[in-house]
Amino acid sequence: MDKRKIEENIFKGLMIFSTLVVVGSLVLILVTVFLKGFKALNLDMLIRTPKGGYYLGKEGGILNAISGSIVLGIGATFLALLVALPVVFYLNLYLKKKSKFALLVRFLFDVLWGIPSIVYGAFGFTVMIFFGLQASLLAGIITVALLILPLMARSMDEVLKMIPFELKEASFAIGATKLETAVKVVFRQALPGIITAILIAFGRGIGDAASVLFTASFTDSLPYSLFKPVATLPLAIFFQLGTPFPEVQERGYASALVLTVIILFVSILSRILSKRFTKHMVK
Amino acid sequence: MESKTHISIKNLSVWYGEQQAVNNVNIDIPDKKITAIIGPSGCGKTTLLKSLNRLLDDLDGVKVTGEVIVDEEDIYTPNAELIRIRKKMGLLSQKPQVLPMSIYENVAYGLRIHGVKGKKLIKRVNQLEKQCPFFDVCPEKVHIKKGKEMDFLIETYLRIVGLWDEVKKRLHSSAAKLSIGQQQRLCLARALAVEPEIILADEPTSALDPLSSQNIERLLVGLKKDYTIVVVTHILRQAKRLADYIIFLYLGEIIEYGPAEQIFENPKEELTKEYLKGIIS
Repeated sequence: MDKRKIEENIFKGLMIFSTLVVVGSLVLILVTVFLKGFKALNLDMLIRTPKGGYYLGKEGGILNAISGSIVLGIGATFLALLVALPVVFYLNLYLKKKSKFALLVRFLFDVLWGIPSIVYGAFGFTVMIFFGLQASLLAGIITVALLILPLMARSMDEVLKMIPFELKEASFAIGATKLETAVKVVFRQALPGIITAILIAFGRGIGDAASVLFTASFTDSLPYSLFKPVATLPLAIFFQLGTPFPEVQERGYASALVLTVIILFVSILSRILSKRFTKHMVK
Repeated sequence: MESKTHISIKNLSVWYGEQQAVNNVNIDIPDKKITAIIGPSGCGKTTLLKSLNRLLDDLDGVKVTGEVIVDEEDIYTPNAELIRIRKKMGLLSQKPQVLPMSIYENVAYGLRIHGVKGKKLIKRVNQLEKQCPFFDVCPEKVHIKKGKEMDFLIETYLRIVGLWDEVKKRLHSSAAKLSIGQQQRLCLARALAVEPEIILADEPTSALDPLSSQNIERLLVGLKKDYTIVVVTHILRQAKRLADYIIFLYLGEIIEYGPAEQIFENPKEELTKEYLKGIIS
């Protein structure tokens, strides 16, 4: 056989192999969590809070962590969105393409993106102490918002960067201001991407343990006040897996399954929503 | 020149960073005529056109010197009102850029951002009704129901560009689904809805099929009795069909300027002759 053809086949084979490794390990994770968690999963776990001795194997559930995670995740995503949207509009509409300042902001976001979440947790904790606050839902929301802000802003930024200059130009040429162009044209065109960015950020926020360890702490009760500690799923998993009792460890896997399903659901939702909002998009 | 001047360009130069794209242009563009800017690719035609409504402002490293005087006002003075200047001019770009919204909303966009509602809307309807026979496209319903003024305006503008019959049943579906020729006509309707005095067209037919191109050309010719039109084109035959005046631009400089007949029949400059013959392109 021709040498170049062999070369082509070898490298194509390598590429397929790498793809299979990636897909395979993802599937393996899902299968492991599912198999190990599904056995221990029951309705009680989903609709009850932990009763006395839950972590020793007695009855109860993780509704405290499920509801806590959802509330905290939504709060943090909303807070991050409030900051991310103005930032990306400023970067993409008000600053010029080669602006040094925009370059700096993007670089800083990339740096912040790479900082481990435990550092955000420690930072949030320091700030909390400084203001004399105790670990609470609010502190958790703020810390997680900081954690997911770079991810959210940079994803949105990439979406907005893709919007052709000519589209903005068309709006400017009619006499629209930058703000009108941002809100009425760019936002609509970028909406599917913005929704995806929001949901990716939510997924990252809801799944993080280290940032909420000190800031949101943990509790057996449902979230009822911004100023009281709140339970989260990642920490629930951590605590349950950390016990020496096999039945509690199994519940840990069940909790992991719940978290995975929530994130899976959000991913699918983001696909469906972004499809729906492409209706008016200009290709 | 017998015609009145609408746009007067004085000592206009444009730089992209170090590179000069337009070099000391001095020219008067006549009112209610079609002026075509011709010249080889990359000679600064589009730059010259876009300098007329300050669309270069948002690009990187662009420097503009000189004056562009529209209705006795220099649009490049620091306190010139950008929005009012741009409102005076409608733009048709090379590739039609519809906005990410419905057909109806595309036309309504300009009206909405310029706050045409309530009394202003009714005034606009009355104005347009008077002009209607002139455009020869008056919507059938003479009596407009209250609250339907916007619909009337949209219909009229879509009729002016000959798009109404094609889209009247799907006004609220996405503009992006239209064919590219329809999109360009929609862009024209959108521009007209803002009531400009000037239409700037940057190779408006270059992305279109021959029939759609013909449509746009016919529209531009029809519109020149009401609007000053500046069209950039690299198609000489199109310039011949459309233009009353020709600007021949070469490497950022105006080589020759004058009535279309004179330029085509009897060019004075050697470069113009060569370009018209196709020796340079």
